[in-house]
Amino acid sequence: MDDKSSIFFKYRKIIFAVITFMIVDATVIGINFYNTYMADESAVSINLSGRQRMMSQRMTKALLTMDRALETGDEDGVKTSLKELTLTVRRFDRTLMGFRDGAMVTGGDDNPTYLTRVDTDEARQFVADAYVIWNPYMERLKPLLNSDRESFLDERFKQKLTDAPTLEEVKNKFKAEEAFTDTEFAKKLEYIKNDPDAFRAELKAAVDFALEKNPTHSEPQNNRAVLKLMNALTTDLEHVANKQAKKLRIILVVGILVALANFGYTVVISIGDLMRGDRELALARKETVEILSTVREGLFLLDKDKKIGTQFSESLPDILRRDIIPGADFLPHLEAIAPRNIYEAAVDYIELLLGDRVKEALVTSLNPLTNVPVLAADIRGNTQTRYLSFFFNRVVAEEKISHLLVTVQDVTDKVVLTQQVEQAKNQAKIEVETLLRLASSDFDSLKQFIDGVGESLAQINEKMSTPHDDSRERLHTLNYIMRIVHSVKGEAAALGIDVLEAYAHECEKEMVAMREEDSLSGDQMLRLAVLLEGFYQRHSSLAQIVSRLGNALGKAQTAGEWTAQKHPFADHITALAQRIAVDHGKQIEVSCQFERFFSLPKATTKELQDISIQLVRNALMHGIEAPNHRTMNNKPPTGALSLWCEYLGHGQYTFTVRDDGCGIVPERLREHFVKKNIMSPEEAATLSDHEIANHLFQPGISTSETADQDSGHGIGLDVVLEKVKDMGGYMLVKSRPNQFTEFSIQFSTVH
Amino acid sequence: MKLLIVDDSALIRSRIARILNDPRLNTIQLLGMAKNGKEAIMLFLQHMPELVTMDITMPEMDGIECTEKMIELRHDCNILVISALSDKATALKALKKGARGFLYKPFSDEDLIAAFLELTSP
Amino acid sequence: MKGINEKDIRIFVDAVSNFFFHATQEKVEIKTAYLLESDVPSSTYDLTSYITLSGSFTGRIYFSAPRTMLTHLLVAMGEQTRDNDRLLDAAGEIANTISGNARKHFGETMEISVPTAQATDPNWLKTVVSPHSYVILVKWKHYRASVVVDIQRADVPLAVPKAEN
Repeated sequence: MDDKSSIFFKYRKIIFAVITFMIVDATVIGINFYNTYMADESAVSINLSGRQRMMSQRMTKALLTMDRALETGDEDGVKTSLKELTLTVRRFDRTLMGFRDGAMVTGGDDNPTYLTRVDTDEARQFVADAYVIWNPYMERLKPLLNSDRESFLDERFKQKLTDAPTLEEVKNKFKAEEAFTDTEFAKKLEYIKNDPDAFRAELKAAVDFALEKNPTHSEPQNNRAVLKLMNALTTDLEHVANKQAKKLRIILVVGILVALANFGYTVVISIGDLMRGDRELALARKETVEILSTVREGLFLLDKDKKIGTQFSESLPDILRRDIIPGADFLPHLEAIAPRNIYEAAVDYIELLLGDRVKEALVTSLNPLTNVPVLAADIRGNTQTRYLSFFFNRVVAEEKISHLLVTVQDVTDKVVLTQQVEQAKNQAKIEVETLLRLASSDFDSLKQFIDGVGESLAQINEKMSTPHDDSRERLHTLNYIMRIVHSVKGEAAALGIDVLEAYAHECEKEMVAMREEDSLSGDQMLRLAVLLEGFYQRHSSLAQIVSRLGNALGKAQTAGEWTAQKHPFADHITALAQRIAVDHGKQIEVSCQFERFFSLPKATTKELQDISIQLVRNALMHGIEAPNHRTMNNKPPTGALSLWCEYLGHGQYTFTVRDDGCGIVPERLREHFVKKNIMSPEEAATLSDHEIANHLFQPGISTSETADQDSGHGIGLDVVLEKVKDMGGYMLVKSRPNQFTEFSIQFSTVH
Repeated sequence: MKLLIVDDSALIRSRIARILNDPRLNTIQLLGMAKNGKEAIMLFLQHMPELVTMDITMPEMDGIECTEKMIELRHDCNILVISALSDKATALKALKKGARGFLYKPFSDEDLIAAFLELTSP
Repeated sequence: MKGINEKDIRIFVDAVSNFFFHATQEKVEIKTAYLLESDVPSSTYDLTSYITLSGSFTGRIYFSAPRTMLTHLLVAMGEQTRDNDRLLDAAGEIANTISGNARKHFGETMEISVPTAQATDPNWLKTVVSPHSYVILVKWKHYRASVVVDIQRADVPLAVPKAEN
């Protein structure tokens, strides 16, 4: 069913009622019109038949007046009477003809009007009876009147005015017909004077006829008989008119009643329908209102002009923290709360959704208004960053996009929680990811990647360390950095290292925003430096974990070869330690952290390298035991040797060499020193353990039994101590028998 | 429907081409692949395809400009922007030039198939 | 270098900028910023002053500038004496301003040492600061100077640095 027919179907009762109403109304109006027309005609007839009575009397009176004036020789009286007689006779004659045949006559207002012929039998009889008297009467009156007016009874004037000459023409003709001119009177006067008897006889004949007793009529005189007939005619016409009017009134009343009934039906039907519609609408509205007042999300419709619809959820103003007026423009509200770049993107996004070019399903991922940080004061006036998400759905009516349904959610809790979890997970994530990488086979590509990132970051930093004077060059730098970061992001994604990928993504987003601003200030370079530092942090924790886990997984060889910023000396000292271990039938695993060497002066690094070599030799010769010896003491056969350099802040560093060998045992030292004649047994006995240990740093002391290239030449710890003193530092020795020995050098680069 | 793939990454180009083998996409014929905007326009002029997948960051001519040119040449062309862009504003620019949809890189096979089906539906 | 953000760093740079602006009506301009490591310039100039922080933040903030720049500054300030001591005083005063801003920004819970100023070798900063300290290269007139920030927050949350709007 298409829409048009459904509308027709829905309103078919009302449409039927309205059409019927119109037909009935038109009929009533038609009847009414006809009625008025008929009443007009009747009124003319009644009026004119009344005039006939008067004319017949005036006619008789004029005859008698003329007779008396003629007696007295009153010329003016004769003239007046002649005029009156002519007027009355001609009018009476024409009007009577009108009643008989229908004709144009002089109306009550002296204007011509059409008189319809009478159509009841009684009336026609009255007219016919009148003619019986009038015809002979007229014969007698004619000589008294103007003689040659017969032509006026022309057929033409019987016609209705439409085909007849103009109204004015007819009026003039009638005037002339009814007039008795002065010229005619002069002629008549001459006639009277020449032959007074002849005129008198003519007058007498007329008067006599008027007053003559009518044999066929109950009235004694013809004059009275005519009056009576005209009376009867009037009464009859009035009677007919009344009958007609009564009939028409009944029709009219019936018509109006039908129309009223029809109207009533229409009203009942429509009101019924309307009320039912209203009830349904009210129910729907109630549901809508209930939904809108209870739903926690902000809900509203956005029209094509981006105005907010008249109904929206009660929570909307709370969520937006703004007063919302129905029909208000949405964009100014959004502009006020959203960051500028997001706002601008949102305008584009809304435009695209309102247009019909894009596919809704294929652009929702581009909605810029998800987790938008908005700044808005709460009730207490505190401003806090909240996060809102806006979702837009097209509302399609008749295959056209009519509105967007907008849902707004306050996602602050969610975002904050996510951020907290993110932060908490960050460190753990690095470790887990790294473990997973290590467990998988592409350890080498991970290693390469970490190295590569270190180099990339160094490249970026180097580029940034060159100051630029104009913003175009800075933009150039920015683009350079973006390319590097983008490729790091790609590689991190490829290896599944989410933490670096996400951070690179974060950086990229910020840099895109910077690039949008066309000019790049030095201040933004500071921002870049902060981003870079974050990168370094992540990179170095990743590198350290990989290094440690690499060792733990028995990939010491591989892992030892590299760190985030691998110092070449690490390779050197590891190789040295391995060689000494092999030469002396021992097993050793070496781990080095020499990154700090990079930020130390060259001379200091050189000193530390020399010290390392000495301490490593010392550890392998005197600390680490042979594998069988270690096993006997419940230790793994392979010894562990660690070297690391740490920064303590304020220019303070420590450099530590530690082995898990036999440790420093004062009793053994005492024996050794006595045996070597370095001190007497008495002297050895009086010295405290601490003092005995300090003797290790005396020149020419060695605990090894034989001298070889690695130890036993009597030079060793004394040299180390000298060097440490030269550096302005001091040395700490910690040891526990059968567990470890640790030499720790503390020094400062600040003087 | 004829499809033109525009992407500077050979990996992505061959991946999209491979996904086209899915039986649900048998109405789409691959007519060519371009690795930058200029190549893309040349191929477009020759074949006037109905369907284009478009990368944004490319050498020679970027995807936004390329989209604009193609829409000028053929208004009813269905362009799907596929990009790893981190900012939505740039992607929206391409859509304002007349592209019909957007897909984030990286995408799954199903993502791309769904996007093609959406794009080719009336 | 964990736990400090762009806003914190800016406080120190702004202090230097304000000092120059009040003294000479000319602000300093940030030219670039980077992290100190082996392959980048140390940005140590003839004279360097610094303050030491402890409390919620620990570490040092350095200001390093060439003699010529500080001399020019003294001229601009209408100083008659411009000997070595006076130049070191000027450098120290700048560090003092940084200290004042830092106290205002980080609150009274922080202890800040009196400024120290000394003549320095070109590589000096590299030898004293932690790796990856921030170097902010600034420009006043045609001179270059550096603000080096080597501090860290006592409690270190690992957070993605966020831009300050």
